[in-house]
Amino acid sequence: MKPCALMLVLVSASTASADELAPRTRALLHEALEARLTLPADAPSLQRPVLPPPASAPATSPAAARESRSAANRAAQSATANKVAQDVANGRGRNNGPSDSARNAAGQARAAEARATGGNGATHGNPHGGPPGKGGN
Amino acid sequence: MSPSSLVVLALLLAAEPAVPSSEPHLVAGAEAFRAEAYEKALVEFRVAEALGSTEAAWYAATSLLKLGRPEDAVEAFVLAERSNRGASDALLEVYRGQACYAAGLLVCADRWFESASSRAGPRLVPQLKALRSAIRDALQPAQLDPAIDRLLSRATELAPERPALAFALAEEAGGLAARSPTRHRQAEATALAGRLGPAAPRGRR
Repeated sequence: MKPCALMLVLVSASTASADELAPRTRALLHEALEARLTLPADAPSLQRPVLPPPASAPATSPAAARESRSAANRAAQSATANKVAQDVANGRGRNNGPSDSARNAAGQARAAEARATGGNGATHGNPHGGPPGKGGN
Repeated sequence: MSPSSLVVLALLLAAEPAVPSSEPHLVAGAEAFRAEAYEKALVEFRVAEALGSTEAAWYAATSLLKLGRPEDAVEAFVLAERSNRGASDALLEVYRGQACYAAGLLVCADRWFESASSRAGPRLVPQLKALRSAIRDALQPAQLDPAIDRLLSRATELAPERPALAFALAEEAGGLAARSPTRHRQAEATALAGRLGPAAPRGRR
């Protein structure tokens, strides 16, 4: 029975480590964040608007209409990505591991998020990589 | 070999690999982040999240901040905390504080800068201290009540669709109300934050 117990321990160890980040990955993430860390240089203000309501934007001009459609599209794509993510989570729960369908779903999530983040770069992207007004963060 | 050993061996072979499938996406996300390709980083972190990494949500939030979407980042940090509270560290707290700062949520920013200060390195500590001092100066009593009104109004609007972001706004309103000489709408802010807290249905981007 001893070899059997040893194998059970190995199985447990194998599955337990699957959810944990490898030290090298963690170090890479930490280094990337540290390398790009720049603290804000602008003065803090309580007056900064918090997500201006959609109604405040003029909706009559063609540009505004395009922006509105783009935002709606972005929201729909994000919702799709979220749904896919949920499906993947459910799939993992049943199969105890990423299946081909999960990988496909992840591909769809990647495409949806890429469209969502890339499709409206003029409004939401920031080529300097920092929040607006941060002096090229 | 006994039949039971064979069964266990089969289990061992079928067990999930030691390296999760989300790992390559986290690595790709880290590389993209370092290269300032924040849209790519966001996609990689979201894919890692979809493949089961709860830590990826924290890094997706930092990418949103870098993309100039501080409100989305604030929301993503709230959701990341709910899914894996223990994954945060001082560096992520600084990013979270920055997201709050850029979104105009100064009490929130102060909270995370303070938390990070106790664990941050010697280079960051004086900078965080200076930021916290500037935040204290900006929290002028005369400006608190209108800010609380604005935050509660937005939180109420956002609550059905984006409860996590609404929660952050309600918490901020509560924090400002605690500093208000009249405790302006403090009970209302506290009640709203309580309703939208971790037990509430989750929204996400």
